[in-house]
Formats: sequence, C-alpha cells, structure tokens
Amino acid sequence: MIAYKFLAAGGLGPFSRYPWPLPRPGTPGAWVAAAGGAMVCHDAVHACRAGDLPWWLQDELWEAELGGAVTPGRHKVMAPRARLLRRVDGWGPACAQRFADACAGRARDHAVTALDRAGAGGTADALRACTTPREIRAAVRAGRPPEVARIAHTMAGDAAVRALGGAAVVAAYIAAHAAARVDGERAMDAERAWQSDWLRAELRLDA
Amino acid sequence: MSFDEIVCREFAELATDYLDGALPDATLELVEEHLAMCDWCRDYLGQIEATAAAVSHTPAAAPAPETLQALVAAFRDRPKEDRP
Repeated sequence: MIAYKFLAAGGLGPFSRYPWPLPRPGTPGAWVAAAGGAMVCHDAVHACRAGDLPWWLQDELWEAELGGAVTPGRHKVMAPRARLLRRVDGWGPACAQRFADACAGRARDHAVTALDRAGAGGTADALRACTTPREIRAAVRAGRPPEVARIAHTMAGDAAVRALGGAAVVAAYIAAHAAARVDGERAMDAERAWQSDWLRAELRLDA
Repeated sequence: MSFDEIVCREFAELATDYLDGALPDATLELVEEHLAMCDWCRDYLGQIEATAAAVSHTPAAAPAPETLQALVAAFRDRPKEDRP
C-alpha cells in the first residue's frame, strides 16, 4: 500500500525521533520494521492516507510504501514495516502557509454563517470582506458579535492568529471545530474532508 | 458537543504513561493527535523528559547521620497502635 508519512525536519519521526532511512535517487529508503515494538512504535509503523493528512502536518511529507498487513486506524494506518519512496516536494513552508491561510478563510466563513443566522449582518459583512488572516484578525477584534455567534466569531480570530504564526495544523484544527460549532459534528467531518481535498489537489497526491 | 479527542489537561495526566509506552493503542492515537498540534503539550513533554533524564543521572544522597538517627528514633518511639 502506498501511503504518506510526515516527518520532522531531517527525516526524523515526529514522536519517536527515529531517523528514517531516506531514499536516494532511484532507490527507496531501507525498510523500517516495527520489530516487536522496540524500533519505531509499540508494534507498528504509522502512516497516513491522504484523508488523514490534516491531522499530522509536520516539516516534511514523504510518500511511503507499507509492507505486511495494513491496519486502518481512526486517522492513520499501521503496518509492520514501511519504507520511504520519495519526498513530496510540493509540501514545505510556503505550501503550509497557503494551507493555513485557507483554513483561516474557512473559519471566517463559518463565523459569517453564524453571524448571518444571528441577524448580525453588519459584523458578518465586515468579516466576509476579509481576504487575509491579518484582515480577519482585525475584523474580529473590531467586531461586536451577538452572544449566540460569539464563539464562532472568536474562533475565526484564533484561526487567523495561528495562521499568521504559521501553525497550519492548528489553523486546520480550529477551522474544523468552528464548523462543528456552527453546524454540528458532521460539519467537522466535512471540513476535514475539505482540508484533505485541498492538500491532495495542491500536492497532486494520488494515493 | 463531544468529540473523540483529548485536551491539554487530559494530556498532562497521560504524559508519564505515554513516555513509559504504557498507553493502549486507542489512547495513544488520541495523545499523538493532540501532540501533533499542541506546542504547549510538546513543551511540557520535553520538560518531563529533561527532568527524568537529569534525575536519573543524579546519585541518591544518603541522609545526614543525625537525620537518620532522628528518623530511626521517631520510628521506634511511635505509639504501639500505629505499628503494623
């Protein structure tokens, strides 16, 4: 199975700090085995399907081949062994920032929905007109939302602030929770699906 | 609303078990999802790891003789009803 693996800078496992063997031109990286729990994780190597990516953003994204019986997790897959095939070059600080900005925009949209429903048309319009995280942050600071829309409005500001700080994974998390705040748990799933689709399209992923 | 995820306060309670590799798989996934996006909890975990590493290299100091004598005396003098 082909999957994806986010690693910290330098090819390190973000939790295990394990230095993954990197591929060389034309040659995949060496296989990494879970080895009964000692090498990488408890008893499996972890990786992502394309739909899992928004939960695990790190510095580097790699395409990986999983070996052995693959077990699906909630937001990941597990296998007895894996090896890195190639780095997904499209993922880097610039792409992460575009994704963070897009997520801030999505959080803005959820807040606008909440404001419209609350009859706060002026505050909604001011937020709707914002196109950058900086503008969203300023509009949220200036806005006076009704109580029923206050949290969604605040979340839009939080997502913008985190996007400005480059924290894409947090901006995505906030956008997902903003969706849930406004339209319930299924909206959170839809928001995460939108995020996955964004990454899949931007990075031209086909696994 | 109730989502299947943990918050920082819950992570703090699970951090030691996480470092010991003692979490069941389902909880481990929740913990790592949280760590992937929470700077504060990653810092907290790093502090615990650093503290544990520092303490593990520190020899256990023996109590001063007078402290030891005082403790033994207090132990011997405790009321009979407190003894096992």
